[in-house]
Amino acid sequence: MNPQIAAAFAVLPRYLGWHVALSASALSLGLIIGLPLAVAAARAPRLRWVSLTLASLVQTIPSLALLALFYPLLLAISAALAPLHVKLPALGFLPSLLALTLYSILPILRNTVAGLRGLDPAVVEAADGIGMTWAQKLARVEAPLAAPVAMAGVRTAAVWTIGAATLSTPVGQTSLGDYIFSGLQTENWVFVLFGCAASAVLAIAVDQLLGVVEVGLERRDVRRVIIGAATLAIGAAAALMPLLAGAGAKDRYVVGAKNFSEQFILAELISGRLRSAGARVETKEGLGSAVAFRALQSNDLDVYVDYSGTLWANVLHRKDIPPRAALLAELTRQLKTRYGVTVLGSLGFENAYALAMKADQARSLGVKSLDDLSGRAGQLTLGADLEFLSRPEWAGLQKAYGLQFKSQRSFNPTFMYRAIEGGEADVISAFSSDGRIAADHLVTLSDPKGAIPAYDAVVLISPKRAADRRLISALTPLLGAIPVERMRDANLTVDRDADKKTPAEAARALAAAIP
Amino acid sequence: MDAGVEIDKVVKTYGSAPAVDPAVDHVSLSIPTGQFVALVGASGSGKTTLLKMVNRLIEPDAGSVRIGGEDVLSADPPTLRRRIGYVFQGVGLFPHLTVSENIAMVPSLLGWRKAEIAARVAELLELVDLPAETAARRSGALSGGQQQRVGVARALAARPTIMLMDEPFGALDPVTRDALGQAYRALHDALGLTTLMVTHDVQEAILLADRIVVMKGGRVLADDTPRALMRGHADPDVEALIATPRRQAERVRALIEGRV
Repeated sequence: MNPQIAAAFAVLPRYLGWHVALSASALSLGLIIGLPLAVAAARAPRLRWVSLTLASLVQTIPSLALLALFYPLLLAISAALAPLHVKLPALGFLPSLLALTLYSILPILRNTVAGLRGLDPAVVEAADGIGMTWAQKLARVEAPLAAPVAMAGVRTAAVWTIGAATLSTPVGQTSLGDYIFSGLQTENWVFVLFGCAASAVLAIAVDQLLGVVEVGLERRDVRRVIIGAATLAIGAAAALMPLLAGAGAKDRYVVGAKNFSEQFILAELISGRLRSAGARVETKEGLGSAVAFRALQSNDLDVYVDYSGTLWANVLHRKDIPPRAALLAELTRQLKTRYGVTVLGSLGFENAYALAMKADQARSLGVKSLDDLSGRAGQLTLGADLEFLSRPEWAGLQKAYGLQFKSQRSFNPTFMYRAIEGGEADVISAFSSDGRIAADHLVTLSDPKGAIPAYDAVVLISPKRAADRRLISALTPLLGAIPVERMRDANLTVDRDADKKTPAEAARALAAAIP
Repeated sequence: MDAGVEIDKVVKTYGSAPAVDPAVDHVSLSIPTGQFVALVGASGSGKTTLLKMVNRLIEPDAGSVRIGGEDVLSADPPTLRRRIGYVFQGVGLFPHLTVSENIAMVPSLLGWRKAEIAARVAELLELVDLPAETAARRSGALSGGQQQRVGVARALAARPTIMLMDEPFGALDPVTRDALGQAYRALHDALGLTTLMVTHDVQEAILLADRIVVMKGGRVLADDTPRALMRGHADPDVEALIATPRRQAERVRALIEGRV
């Protein structure tokens, strides 16, 4: 089998298990909320208007944004509940569950209301006239007659939920979306397709089984209802088995990774070392930059790699740019006292933001430094990754060199390199440890005014694990052990088109070179 | 509850009172046990509203309805309705249930034993003249006349003594309608029922009822036996209502006697 596909199958049980756990919980919660609400709304016009409008409104929020919004919302709720010593996890299962539940309510609500309101008025009058109580009428007449229409809504909700659950990856919940997000970052299209196919197959299977239940309800065929429901239950239980097998282990380390190749490789490297030390490890990949630090600070993550300059500007909100060593020392002190986060040390390489151009274009324009660029920027297009333009580093650069580009476009990091290759951007916000800089014949422009801080890759440890000997002794050998060339090579093996490696393979190769 | 129905000065207004005329305006009727009363009148005369106040599908704004001396407003509505048969033009058979499950509904709500319910269903199918094999069918597979026979059987299932019927045969063709009317009148007599039937068809009222109550604008215009009404009435509206069936009857009699 193709090694990419083999790698995809290897993690399928865990991804699928979480995907099923998440979608099934969200759909169940959606039913628990949606069905009683629909029964009440079918009778009360005002409640009907309000609930259907709100549920429709939720649908207009892009599902990725809805998931993302639950992160600050849960942080705020946790802050409000702090006096009660209640702490809600703001990342992972809970925000995903809540967002998907909200998402699933509309079709359930709308169809159930339509089913109840579409009943023959004569049948309802008969139910009243022969002396049924409110509950008897609901159970014996309204529910069975509205069930087929309501069930169609449940099917829609199930398909939506399973599809949208792939978007829970960026908020730190493992799902089939992990294939799609990590595949997108590392240009591993096999992974992207595998993730899409897996979630599509799951959605179709669930939809067809719910369809069997629906037909059973329509034809009053109890056998079909039982077959459909039992197959669903057995399937869900089977998908959840791998999770249950891994559950119960309390001393599990959660390793985080942001959303680019280097982070995936380093997370695999850290996980590998922890596993060798006999620990159980779980990874949360594809996290947003700010999300990752907050998650670590609140112990939702135990360890991940971040970059000193990023933390300096985005977490400490510092605008001054001290020398590399002084910055790292001050950062280490501040993160400890302010957030209880331990900076274990630098891995030995820098991954700085650096503006890069095609070597031949830079030569013909005579641009070597950012100073040279400032005069030429008006004719050029800047291609930036998704967060660069809103980061303080960009503001600093603009201020120091007065950079005014003809236009600015944001790309997913992967497509940013494609864009400069294809001429859709002339200058990009590259990363200095990126193997594609050399591979794509790009040059990075020097920063004579020192507007961009140093970006030492540092290992961060959560407050909870600050004194964890196993963790610290497992990771200490990594400190200073990865020179930038080695990191670039590792990144390139994952990012290149031919003879592509998975982040895990790249991490193994990297680990082999470390004593 | 083996007693008649006492309707005492009931008023019902839909909407706010001074702006709208009451749908039922201080109507009183005393219906002794065993009587078959037809409520006739045009649409909007208040006859259906009056009927539905007996089993509390509609509650009066003023006045009272007593059954066997007990005010219906003091009874729990579902309990009250299970003791009163209710048949209406829409029939309202439960489409997801079989004929026998429909008929068995009230006994099952009352917690009868299974064997008892099964025996009662068989008895009722015979009573309303439906073949036994219809028991397992769903209501959609029946003709309109058969459906209303099931409706009557369902209403009679828990042995009520009072039957409320709202245009029960209104949607049926004339032949079926006549047959069902006659069959029901026979049941009324055989079971000793008290029946209050709303109809806009005076001829049906004359042929089936012991007593006809004519309503208009929420008030009672006439309240008498069919025989007395056929002899003529002082109120021009009542007279106009009776005139047509009387003339038709005389024409038919003349035809039969060979005079024309």
